Amino acid sequence: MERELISKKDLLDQTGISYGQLYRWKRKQLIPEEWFIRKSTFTGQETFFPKDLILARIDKILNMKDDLSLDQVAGKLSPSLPDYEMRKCDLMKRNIVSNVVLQRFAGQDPDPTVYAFEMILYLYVIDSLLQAGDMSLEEGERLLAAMRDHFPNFEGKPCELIFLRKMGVSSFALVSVPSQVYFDSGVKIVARLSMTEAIERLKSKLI
Amino acid sequence: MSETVLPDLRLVGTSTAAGGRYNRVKITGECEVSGDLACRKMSAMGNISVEGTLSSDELSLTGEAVIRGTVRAGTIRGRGELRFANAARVDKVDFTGNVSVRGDLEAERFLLSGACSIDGLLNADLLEIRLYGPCRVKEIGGESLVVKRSRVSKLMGLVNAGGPAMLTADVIEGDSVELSNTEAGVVRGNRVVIGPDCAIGKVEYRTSLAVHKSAVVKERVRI
Repeated sequence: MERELISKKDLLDQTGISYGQLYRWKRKQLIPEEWFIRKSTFTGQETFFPKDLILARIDKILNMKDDLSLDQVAGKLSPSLPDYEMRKCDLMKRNIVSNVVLQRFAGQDPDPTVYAFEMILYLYVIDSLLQAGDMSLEEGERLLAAMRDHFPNFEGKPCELIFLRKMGVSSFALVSVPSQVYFDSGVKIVARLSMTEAIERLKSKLI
Repeated sequence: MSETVLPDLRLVGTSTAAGGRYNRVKITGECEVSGDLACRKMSAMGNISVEGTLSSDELSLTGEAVIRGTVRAGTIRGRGELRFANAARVDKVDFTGNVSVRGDLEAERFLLSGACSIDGLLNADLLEIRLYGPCRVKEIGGESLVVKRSRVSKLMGLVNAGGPAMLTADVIEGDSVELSNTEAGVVRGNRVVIGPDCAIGKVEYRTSLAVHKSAVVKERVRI
């Protein structure tokens, strides 16, 4: 599960941005602190980034900054939960969460029910795990309960969802990032998904 | 904090305060704030210490300030000694004296005449340091970085007990970098000028590099 990394020098070469821009974006929190990974190399200490994440992010910033100010871009990219609500029927119409999930987990709510961003996020996460074929519907219910109980505890701090199985028995864990978790040998990690990224993906879908 | 009417806080002499939210804070003398302090404008003369976080749009200081929590400010100006035990995010710093930060310091503009010790990253769009004493920064990053030695410190160097007016850093990265009296492991930039009395391990530059004859650069790489 080790992520491919890119050094700062290669990143600047590849994207054509300058040190000044990179540091400015860091100051504006367009690039999260956790992505700056310090490693010692034979030339001394160097900074590395998760390659897929940083390239996608820089692409996004470069595209957005033509018509938005940096502060506006920061608002769009920040991991904090927006005050965004949506009606159930709109979720269905815009295909943000699939019908199956809505029926199963929110079947009893009438169509005009308004969901807060958190709830949409939970449904969205469940939906993406179901679509990947990693999880069954029953497990989805337990995941929903787990996220409802524990996700607000992170108070906007970055966290990760780990979905694991041992001997056919599944369980979920929400852990803060960065953290290291080790399991015994029988445990298989089915999915590991960053909630911060999920929030971002969902935001770009909604807004 | 915009519409509500916030009270002012004025303290003279030796005093303590609990903290809280204020419009203007004026402190003359010695003051210990035991909690978080948030205000629009703050001016302090003397010794002040804040146990919690400090946030202010405008901060002017004469004397010594010790802040244990994180600092968020619009502008910080003044002279004396600043000690932050945590990270700080400031729009503009214009300070004369000694600045020490036990974390990262982020600022759009960082203008300092004096000495400093920053344990983390000093991240500034525009950075100008006039060296009057020893400066120790782990990492510096930004767009335009200028480090000069003040003329006075040459004379003061003869009697100065605090150490020579030098900047020591592990890494310095910027678009335009102008250094003098600096000891650094690696300097990376587009346009790099290494001035007098520098000792640099490695310079990586893109467009231009100029090295003063009294500077020592072990390795030069053009990328």
